[in-house]
Amino acid sequence: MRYQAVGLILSLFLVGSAQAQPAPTTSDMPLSERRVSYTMNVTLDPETRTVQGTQQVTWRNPGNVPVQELQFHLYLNAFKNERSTFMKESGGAHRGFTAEGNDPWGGVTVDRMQLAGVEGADLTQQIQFIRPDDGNPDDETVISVQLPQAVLPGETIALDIDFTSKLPQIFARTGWQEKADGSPFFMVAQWFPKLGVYEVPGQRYLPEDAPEGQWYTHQFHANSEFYADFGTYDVRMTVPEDYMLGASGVQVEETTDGGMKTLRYVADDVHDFAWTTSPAFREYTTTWRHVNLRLLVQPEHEDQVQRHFDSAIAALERFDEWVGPYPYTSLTLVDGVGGSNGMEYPTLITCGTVYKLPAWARFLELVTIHEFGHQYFYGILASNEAEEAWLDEGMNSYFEVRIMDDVYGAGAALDFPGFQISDEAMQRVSYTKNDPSRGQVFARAWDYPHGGYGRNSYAKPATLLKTLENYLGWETMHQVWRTYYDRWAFRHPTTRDFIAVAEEVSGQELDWFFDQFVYGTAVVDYRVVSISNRNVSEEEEPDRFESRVRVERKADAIYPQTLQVRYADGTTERKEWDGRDQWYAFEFEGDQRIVEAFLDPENHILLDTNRLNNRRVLTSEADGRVGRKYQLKTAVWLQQIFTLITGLL
Amino acid sequence: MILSSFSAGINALRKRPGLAVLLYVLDLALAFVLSLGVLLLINEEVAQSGFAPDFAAQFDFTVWMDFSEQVGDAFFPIVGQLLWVIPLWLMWKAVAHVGLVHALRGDAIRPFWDGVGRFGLRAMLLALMYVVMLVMAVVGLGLVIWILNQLWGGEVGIFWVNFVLAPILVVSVFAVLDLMHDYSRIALVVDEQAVRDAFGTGIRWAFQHGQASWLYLLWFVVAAVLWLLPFGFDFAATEATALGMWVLFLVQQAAMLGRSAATVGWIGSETAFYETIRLREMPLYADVDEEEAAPWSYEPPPSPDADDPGLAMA
Ligand SMILES: [Zn+2]
Repeated sequence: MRYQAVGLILSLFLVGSAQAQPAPTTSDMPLSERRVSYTMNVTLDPETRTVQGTQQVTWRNPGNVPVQELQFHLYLNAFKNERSTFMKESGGAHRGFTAEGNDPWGGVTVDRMQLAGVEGADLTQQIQFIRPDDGNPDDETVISVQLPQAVLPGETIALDIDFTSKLPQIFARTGWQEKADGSPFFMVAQWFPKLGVYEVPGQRYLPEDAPEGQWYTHQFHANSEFYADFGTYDVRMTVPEDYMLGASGVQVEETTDGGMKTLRYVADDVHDFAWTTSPAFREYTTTWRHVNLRLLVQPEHEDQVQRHFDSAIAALERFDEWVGPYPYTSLTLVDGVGGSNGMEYPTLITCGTVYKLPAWARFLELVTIHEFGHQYFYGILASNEAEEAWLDEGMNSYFEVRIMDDVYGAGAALDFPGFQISDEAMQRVSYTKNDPSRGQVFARAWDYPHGGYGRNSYAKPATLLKTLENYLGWETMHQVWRTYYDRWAFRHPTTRDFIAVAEEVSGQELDWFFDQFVYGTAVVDYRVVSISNRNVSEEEEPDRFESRVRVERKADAIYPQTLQVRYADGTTERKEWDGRDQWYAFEFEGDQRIVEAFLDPENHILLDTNRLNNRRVLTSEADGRVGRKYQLKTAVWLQQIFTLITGLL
Repeated sequence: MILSSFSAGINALRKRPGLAVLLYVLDLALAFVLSLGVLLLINEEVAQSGFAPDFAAQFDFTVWMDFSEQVGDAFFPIVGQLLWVIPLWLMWKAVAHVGLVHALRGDAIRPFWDGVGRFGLRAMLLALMYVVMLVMAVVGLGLVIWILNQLWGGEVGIFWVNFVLAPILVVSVFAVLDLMHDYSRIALVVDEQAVRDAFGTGIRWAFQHGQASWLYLLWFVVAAVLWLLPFGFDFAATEATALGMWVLFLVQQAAMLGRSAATVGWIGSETAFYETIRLREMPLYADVDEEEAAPWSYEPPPSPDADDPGLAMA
């Protein structure tokens, strides 16, 4: 109720000052290069689940040679049939959802394309499907258009396009779904002809001395979603009057006509535009500093409104402090239906929860924080997800871990009495206990070994970045992130760019780290092999011990190690080792015997695949409490089972 | 009638506390022996790892996963033991139940083991018939829950059907079967009915005597609370010291001894209830031999306890 009241007052205020158009960003100046612009006018037909409309798209040639070709993504065609590259890679199933049922397929057709304002300059016949990644002749997710006249350097071209988007039944976060009560839900994403990225020499990996620029327009793959240029969007969406609508950017106009309403949204300095609509949504709003948060929630989840806002604001606060300012004035949280949830679009994310989700299951918080994080790692720092997914999902997972554990503590991922799991431990184990040597982090999304996408683009990057943070210290790492943001916001950074920032800020050479864990497949595992103490004192002399701790590097990665030993009197001592040799012996001398040896006592090297073997005590110090504790618990549980049997028979 | 039967159960327990101790000790002994495998397995990997003190104080997911990876398949034999232990224990529970009925019926003191010996085999046959009933009930419940899920779709429906309705339905049906089984066993022992007849008696009893259900419910609540207590203690405790672990264990054992006592009281109550009803029905046939007086249409075998007044209490 609190939010509805706020929303009411806010809307009254807006009606009173209808002239003042809300701005989509906090800046009066463009934040990005804005190489592209899209003006669209589209109508949803809920019966045929089709969005039909017109689009004027402009593109400015950023290079220094004329360009005769344009390339567009037609990503909705991934859901055209089971022969698309997306469907083949995902085996017809995407994260648990499959294309079946009635009317499952979708697709987008370009009905007409012509040079804007030039009569008879029809380009529709010039459209050709291309398959730059895999040559799959059945994939229609990328088109190329030959222009009658080249676009000169610095010049802008405008095209008028008519297109029809048939939405699939929700698949990979896009499409239509009917709720159990029959009410329709539409998530309109990856839905319009969107330009690829024309990279100029010196941009990303294209050499400075390359003769000309190059289009990077990847097909839609099962494991990658985005790479496009920043620009401006001005979109009019027409839907039935009783539908609630949410979209990227801010709403600037609303008109109604004959049972339909048209909402106009503008979004600046973003590289995509998505919207959602349904008559079932309930709306809640709140604000955080300059950001208007809006939640479109399913009625059955209204008791979880606060959880949505709390987690989104927790993320906003921490990203602002740790990385850089959130430059947009809006954030729309969508509680979608089924497979539409857990997805990021500019200033609009889908979260997702279930009816009566208990407080100890922080699924809703985790998804909301994760998807919000993509506003930075994908949105503002717009790396090429198809080619370097870890810069997007991986860096974002690292911040998800940081925020979840900061806000919710030791039980961030699971908070059950006596059984708490932090998000850091969850990500670490997802990497270390899941074939840690298979596949490298730096890989194109479609080249990950089967089942390796989650490990290599989420869990391992989160774990390796947290390890790097522990190595450099948070002070330094914090500066790395702020510098990375300052330098690369609203651009397309690469792995190389991130490493350069990390090395520059820390003043350290870090190739040894990135070569092993980002470009390579090295695995860390060190163990304490033995502790020996030899009393070398002569008779009647006070005790004098020569002690030795033998350690082993069990796997191929080399990582500097700290060994902590504990003496019989409880005092400790630490020694460093470069970690290079396969076997190594630490030597100590003193009047006490060593009773415990512990590698990485601070738990800094989260990449270590077996922490249990990092530590050893003398037999005399063996502690049977853990065994006893779990034995007693097991006994009690067995007794309880035996008692239950009495009830059954 | 319900309350008097309930207190009859309490009285039976007071007279024969040893029976509760016997049931409890056997469960504890078996569970403790089986759990020793866990002790050995964990201590082999963890006791000398240096992580033991930390881990005893707080669950550590990373170290736990390292441990699990290390022991790997060694856990399976421990779980595997349950495959033969549970069927064996089911049989023991079946025979122990008739032993209890025998020991607690009437007001004479009868040895528990005597009942086990005399009725054990028939009790197992009876249990087998109820296993068939149980399987049928499980199939039926599965079907009903599946249909409910189809009728009431959506996540709201899924929640209410599977997390609220289904558990209530399952517990209720199992409880009704358990109630029938209880009276079948009582008929088997008290009236020395043949297995098939006793089976029928139990089923009829549940429908004919509404008060039997209330009596059952009363004990069900007591037993359920006592059963849940050890879990509650487990979640509430943050034991790290060896002493703390044992204290928690002992507190849990106290609840479980209470649960065994409830079993004795429960069966005592139901037996008393049965005998009271049977005695009430008797005056109709006051002039005939007692063995013919049974209102059932079959011929029960002559009871060696026929001269027993059959009243557990006044
Ligand atoms: Zn993500």
